[in-house]
Amino acid sequence: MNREYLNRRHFLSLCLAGGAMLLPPLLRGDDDNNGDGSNVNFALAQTGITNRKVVVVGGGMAGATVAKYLRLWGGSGLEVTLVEKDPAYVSNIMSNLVLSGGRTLSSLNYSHASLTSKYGVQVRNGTVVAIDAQARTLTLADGTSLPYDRLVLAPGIRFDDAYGLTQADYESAFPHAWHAGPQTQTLRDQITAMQSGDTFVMTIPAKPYRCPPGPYERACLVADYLKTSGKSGCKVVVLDENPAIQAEPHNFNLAFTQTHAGIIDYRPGVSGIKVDKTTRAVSFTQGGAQQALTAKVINVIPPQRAGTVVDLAGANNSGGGRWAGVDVLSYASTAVPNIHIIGDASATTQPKAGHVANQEAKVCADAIVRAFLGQQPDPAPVTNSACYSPITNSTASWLTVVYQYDGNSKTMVPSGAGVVEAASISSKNFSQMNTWFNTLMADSFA
Amino acid sequence: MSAPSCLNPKACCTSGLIAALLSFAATPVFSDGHAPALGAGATVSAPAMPGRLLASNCFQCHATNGVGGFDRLAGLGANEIMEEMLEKRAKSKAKIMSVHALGYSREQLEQLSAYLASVRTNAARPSSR
Ligand SMILES: Cc1cc2nc3c(=O)[nH]c(=O)nc-3n(C[C@H](O)[C@H](O)[C@H](O)COP(=O)(O)OP(=O)(O)OC[C@H]3O[C@@H](n4cnc5c(N)ncnc54)[C@H](O)[C@@H]3O)c2cc1C
Repeated sequence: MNREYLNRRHFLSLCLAGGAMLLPPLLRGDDDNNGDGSNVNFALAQTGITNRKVVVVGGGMAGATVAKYLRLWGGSGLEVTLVEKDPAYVSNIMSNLVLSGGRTLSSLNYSHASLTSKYGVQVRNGTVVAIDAQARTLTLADGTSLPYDRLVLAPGIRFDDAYGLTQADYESAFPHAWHAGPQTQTLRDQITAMQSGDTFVMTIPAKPYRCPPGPYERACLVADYLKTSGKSGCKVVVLDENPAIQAEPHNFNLAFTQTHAGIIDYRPGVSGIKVDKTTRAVSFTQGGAQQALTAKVINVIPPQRAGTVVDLAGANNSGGGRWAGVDVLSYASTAVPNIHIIGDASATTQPKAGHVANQEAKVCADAIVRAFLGQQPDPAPVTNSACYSPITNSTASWLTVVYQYDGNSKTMVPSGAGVVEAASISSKNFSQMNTWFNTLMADSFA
Repeated sequence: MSAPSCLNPKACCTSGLIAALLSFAATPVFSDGHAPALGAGATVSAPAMPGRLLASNCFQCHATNGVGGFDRLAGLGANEIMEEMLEKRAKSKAKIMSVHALGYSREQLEQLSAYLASVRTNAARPSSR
C-alpha cells in the first residue's frame, strides 16, 4: 500500500467528516463525477521523433482522439493536421435524448479548439478531393496539397439511398438522424407534431450498422416522449431487418414488453421494406407475409458504408466494398500502404461505437508512434466498449465488454465475462451515464 | 514531481478545507474517499512505458491519464489499483468494473496499474476566487 496516498485519503475523510455539512449539494458527489480532465494540461511525450507528418481526415470520435494521442504520445516533432469538413462536431451519442426533449441539440456541440490549444494539432476546415497513395499527398477542395508520412482516415459513415428514399429525402421530409445535426432537429419537430393515435415507424438495417443498441434506445425514448406528453394511443413500430434485438437484449426486451408495453410494437426479421413517399405507406415482408402500414412519422435508418474518402483512397476492400479492411494491431489498411482507418469506417469484429472508436484511435496512435521509432505495433492490444442506453428520460441500461487480440483469427474477441448488460434499468445508471459521456468526450476532444 | 501529499493531516486539513470552501466552482470535493479532482491548470505528465496503451482503456471513464471521471486513478499506488481490480474480479455481480477486471490477464492488470501509478502531477494551486 502506498503510504502517502493512505495519509491523503485519511486526511480527506477527516476534512470531510467535519466539512460535509457545510458543502453545497452540488459538491456532495452524488454521481461520482470527479472532473472530466478537460481543464488539466498534459505534457507531450519526449520521443526524439522529428519532422514526421500525419494527416487525419475526420474530426469525430475516432479522428479527434487519434490527433490528440499522436501528439500526446508522439511529441512535438510529430506534426498532426486534422482535416474536418464541418466547423464543429455534433455528438451522435446522447442525440436520441434530443428526440425525447431530454437534451438540446446545441448541448451536443464539440469544438476542435482544445486539440490546437492544448496539443498543437493543426485543424483545417476542408474536404478531401484526392489522395495519391504513391506520392503520399492528399488534396483538399480548395486546392491545398498536404504531404503525409501516415494518413489516418476517420470519416465515419455515409448512407445508402434505400427503400425508395434518396439523400434529398433524408435531408427533408424523411430524416434518418443517424448522423446528429439538422436532421435530428427535423425528426424532433416531426415527433412533437404527432397527435394522439398517430404512428411512428422506424426501420433498422441488417448489421453491421452504427451503434448496435442505438435504434432500440431511440424507440424507447420516442415511446417515453409520446407517453409523457399525453398523446394517447400512439404507436412506435420497429421494423428490424435483423432476426433479433442486437444489443442489451434482456433490458430492451423488458423495455418493449413492460416499460413501454402497448406503445412499442417490435417486429424482427423484416425484409423487402419499401416507403411510398406520397401515401406515407411502409410495406414489408415478415414471416413470409406481405404487410403495409401508414405512419405520421417514418424514420428509416438506412444501410451504411464507410465515408467516401475511404473509397477515394481505394481502401474499401471489405464487406462488398462497404468498409475498410484493417489489421487491428495498427488499423493499417489491408489494401493501401501508409493509410490507417479507424472508427465506424473500418471492418472489425468490434461494434461501430464512439467508445470503441476512441480506443481504436489510441491503438492506431500507439502503432504509428512505434513505427516512427522503428518498432513493431503492440502484439497484444486490448480495447473495450462501455455504453449507457437511456430507456426513459430518467432511467438507463448499459453494456460493457473487453476485447483481447486473438492471434489465430487476427481479430479482437470478447474476453473474461464476455458482453455483459446491466442487471436492471435504473435511474442510477442514468446519472452515471452523464459522467461517462462527459469523460469520454473530454478524453476525445480535450 | 509527485502529487501533492499531506504529511501533517491536521494542518493541511484546515487549510485544505478553507481552500476547498473558497473555490467551489473550480475544485469539486468528494466524500467517497477517492483522490480529489485536480485543480484547473494542473500539468500532468506520464512516461512511455509498457502498460500505457493498456491503461488508456481506462481513460474514457477515468479521464486522460486517469485524472478524473468516475474516480481519479492518477497518483494512486500500483498496489492500491491492483488490489481494487482483484477485489472487483471476485465480485460476481454484473458491474462494469467487474467485467473490466475480468477482461485483463493478471499481468496486464499489473502493467496498467504500474502505468497509472507513474503519472505525475504538477498541480496548480486551487484558484482562490
Ligand atoms: C443515435 C446514436 C446514438 C449513439 N450512441 C452511442 C453511445 O451511446 N455510445 C457509443 O459508444 N456510440 C454511440 N453511437 C455511435 C457513435 O456515434 C459512432 O460510433 C462514432 O461517432 C463513430 O466515430 P467516427 O469517428 O468513426 O465517426 P464520426 O463520429 O461520425 O466522425 C466522422 C467525422 O468525419 C468528418 N468527415 C467525414 N468525411 C469527411 C471528409 N471527406 N473530409 C473531412 N471530414 C470528413 C465528419 O464531418 C465527422 O465529423 C451512437 C450513434 C447514434 C447515431
